[in-house]
Amino acid sequence: MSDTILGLRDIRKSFGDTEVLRGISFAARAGEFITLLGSSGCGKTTTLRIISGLETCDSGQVLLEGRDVTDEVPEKRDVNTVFQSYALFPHMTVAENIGYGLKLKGKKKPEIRKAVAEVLELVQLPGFEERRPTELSGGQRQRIAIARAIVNAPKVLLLDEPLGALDLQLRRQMQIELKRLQKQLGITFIYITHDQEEALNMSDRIGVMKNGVFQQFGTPSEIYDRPKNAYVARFVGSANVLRGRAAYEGDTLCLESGGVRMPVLANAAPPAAGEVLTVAVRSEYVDFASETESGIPAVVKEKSFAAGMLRIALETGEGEEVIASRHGIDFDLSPGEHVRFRFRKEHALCVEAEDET
Amino acid sequence: MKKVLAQILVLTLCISLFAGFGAVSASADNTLNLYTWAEMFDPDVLAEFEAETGITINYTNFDYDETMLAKLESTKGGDYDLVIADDYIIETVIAEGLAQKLDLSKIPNFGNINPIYQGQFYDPTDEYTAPYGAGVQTIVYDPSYVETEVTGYEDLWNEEFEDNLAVIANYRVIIGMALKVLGYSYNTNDLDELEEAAQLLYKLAPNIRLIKDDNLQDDLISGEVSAAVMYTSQVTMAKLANPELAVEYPKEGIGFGIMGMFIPSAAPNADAAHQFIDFILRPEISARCFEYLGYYCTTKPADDLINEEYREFLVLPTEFKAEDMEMIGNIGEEAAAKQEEIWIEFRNLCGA
Amino acid sequence: MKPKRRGWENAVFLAPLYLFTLVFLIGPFVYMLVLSFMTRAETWGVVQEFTLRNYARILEPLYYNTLIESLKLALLVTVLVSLLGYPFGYFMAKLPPKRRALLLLLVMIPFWTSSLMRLYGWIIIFRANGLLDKLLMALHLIRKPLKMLYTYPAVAVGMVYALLPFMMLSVYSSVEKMDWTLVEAARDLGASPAKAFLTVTLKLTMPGLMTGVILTFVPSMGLFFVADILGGNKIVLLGSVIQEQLMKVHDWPFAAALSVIMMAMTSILILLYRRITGAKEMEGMI
Repeated sequence: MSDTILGLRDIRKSFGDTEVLRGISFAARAGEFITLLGSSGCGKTTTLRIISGLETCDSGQVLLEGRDVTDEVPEKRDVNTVFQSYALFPHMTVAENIGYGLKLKGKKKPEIRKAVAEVLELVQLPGFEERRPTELSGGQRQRIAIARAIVNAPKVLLLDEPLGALDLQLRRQMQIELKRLQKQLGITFIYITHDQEEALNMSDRIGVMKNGVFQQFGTPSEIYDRPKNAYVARFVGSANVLRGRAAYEGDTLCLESGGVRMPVLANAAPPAAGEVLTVAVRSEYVDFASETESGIPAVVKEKSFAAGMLRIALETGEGEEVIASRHGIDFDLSPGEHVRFRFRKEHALCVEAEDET
Repeated sequence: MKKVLAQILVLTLCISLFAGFGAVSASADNTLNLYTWAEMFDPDVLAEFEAETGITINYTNFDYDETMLAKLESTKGGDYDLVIADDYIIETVIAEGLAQKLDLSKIPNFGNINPIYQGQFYDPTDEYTAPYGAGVQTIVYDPSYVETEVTGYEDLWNEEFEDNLAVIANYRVIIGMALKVLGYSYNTNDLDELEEAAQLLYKLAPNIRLIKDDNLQDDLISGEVSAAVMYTSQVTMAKLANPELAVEYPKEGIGFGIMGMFIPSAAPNADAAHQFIDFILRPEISARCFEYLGYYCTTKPADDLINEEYREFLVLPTEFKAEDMEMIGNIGEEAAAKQEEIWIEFRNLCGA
Repeated sequence: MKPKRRGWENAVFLAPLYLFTLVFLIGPFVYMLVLSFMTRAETWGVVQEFTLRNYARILEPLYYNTLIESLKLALLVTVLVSLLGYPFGYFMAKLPPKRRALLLLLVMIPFWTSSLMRLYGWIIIFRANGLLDKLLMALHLIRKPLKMLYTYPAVAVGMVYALLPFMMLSVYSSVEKMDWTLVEAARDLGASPAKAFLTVTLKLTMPGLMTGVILTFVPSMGLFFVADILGGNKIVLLGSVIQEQLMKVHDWPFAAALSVIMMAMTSILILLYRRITGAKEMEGMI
């Protein structure tokens, strides 16, 4: 691919006895916003550090604009990082912090001053040159950290959970900011987060990581609408994962659970009848009622209100938990009551069973 | 509970602080308060005195003569019965009236004192002191390493001794070497003479390997240096360790110092002090004392009793007369200041 | 009513502290200062006659040179201690916890022995046909004894040895607190390991270095017993002169004046150092 700016090929890394990365590969195009999504310990920070050169991989290759930089030292790579703790130099002013990289490249003072002023405008903190990091708020420090990185016009910008320390309001605001900035500058962003909402909002493509491997790598809609396996389905959009047996009603694949057959959307490799079948249904697509004959039987366990939606936990006869969500603040069914839940065929996706390794 | 414990601890500590003060002022009931440097006496000799007379000896020490003087001044000549110190400080002690005249009727053995050590500057009439050992300046060297025939201080300036000579840190003695080579007195107050001596002394600097007071003999024995000018007791130890070492009396003239025994003016038990002096002046006791101490024997009859092994460096050869010897005594303030400055300059040159 | 009581209580608690400082710190200094302006009595003590003669004497070449020599040695020792102590403290702080604890213990153990004893240890090593000579001769590097003892280098080694642990521990204390992601950020921005060290690590561990410098420089002006023992009394330091003036010559006012000058010099140099490095705080030790 001619416009691939960053490529990772089968990166493996172990720390002592623990294998942290077990074959990571992907390619990022120029100007793309890529997010590595996963819970802590999955290896996303390690991947980032290997790209920047602060960590070396045991095997595999890192290619920058087609050039193998696997063994190159971090200071030589045209890649910059925005650290989770911002890592602003406490003994330098904001201007000195931002100009640090430029000074090392040998740029002259007037040129540096101009660049610093420009980038401060860009992150909307004009006139902050003489301040010290200790005098700044969290959000301001974050923007300075970004400024310090982008002023060097790197080919790739790595961001390690940069919004983690900010409150919800500020975080939402910064998400928009960052996306705007990225589009404006046209730099390739490799972004790390464990917040799937953030990832879905900002990214061109998302790589969902677990235990050192990509579970799925695709656009937000691919990840959300067509999760490849149970983990992705659960992680992104918190889908329910139902297990049962495959059954056929004519040509239609159904999930057999609790004595009921619900039609589901088959994927490329449909199982034979009687085999174990895993189906993902997003909670907003789960419908239930007490006086109805259709649907899988379950018992109401609890109700809670979160993120603007009412969340009802149901338990099936097999002990599986199914979450249904709907608008409103309450409804008239109480815990312990028997209901049946159902869903439309197009919302029930067959997924690979979760990889337990 | 903890608080009470802490308070008791502090109280105990405070009390013990003051307890120390009590020890010095011992009662006069037959104790001899002996005040001098440490290890001046063979413990057996002291034990013998105690057994014979029934007097208990309370032996306390000082490091410097000046400390002793300060102590006596503060007690106004009291607290101690017998003090042994250097000649020059005794001059000041007597001048300040802190010593009492000896009752010679209580010291029958007084006649045993070697007359060559009497009538000196610090006690010209010998009314206040009896000598206990003398230090005589000698040059000690290892003949197996030294080719020069050493007969006097002058030879030490020889190039052969470059970085090979050790001297004690006693500046009167060392500056005195230069004075003697030029034929001047140890105690000159003439600043021109001192300046001349200084210039000569500075030429010796390249030969000086070290300057040290304590245990200088070790460096001669270990081979760190091949020649030294040391205190008499150190010469003794060096000779005993290596009998091959040569001891020379410098031809320019002998300097010497005497340690004197005196009784402070307000001594609580002057009787015991007199008894002790008499005891020490016994020839057999004297001989044992100086064999232990390593300083020149000041009791004439004891000379022959000293062990052959030691005689070479503890007994003055009979050919030496009083005119050949000069004591290092006190000098005027200006001369003293000049000597101090010469000493600093000299050491700077040695270290350069 | 409450604020008033608080003030009274504070006074009671602070009084011992003030008293201690006054009696043991300020008092002696004032006494020394006053003494330096008096004249000495004939043989012993002082006469209360105001004079500037003591300070004038210090300007004489003899004493002035001693002062300069002492300063030179102190500076040399401080530089050596910094060059040796900083890397040691730095690497010690980066070791895994177990080895770090072991190394710390090894650095502290010599403190449990008398410093004089340890100095005599150096005599055993340095003297003619001592351990150093034997080692070098066994390696066929020299044929005759080096005669290291009683030389200026021997004194320097002795002082560096005595003062090194202070530097190591102060630097260690500072480096241990370092945020290493800052170094990573520097590398990320294009700094080589050396550059990252100079612009980030060194600057941020400056308080530790500064404490070490003070803990080295100030004592080295006064460690005259090291110079006396290892230098064979040939290296005359200001401390030696002060001691002699007090004990042998009995010129107390002059000794006091020398001491005051020594304190003044040390203070000036430390202020200068702070100015130059811009270090404002000092690092606490452990």
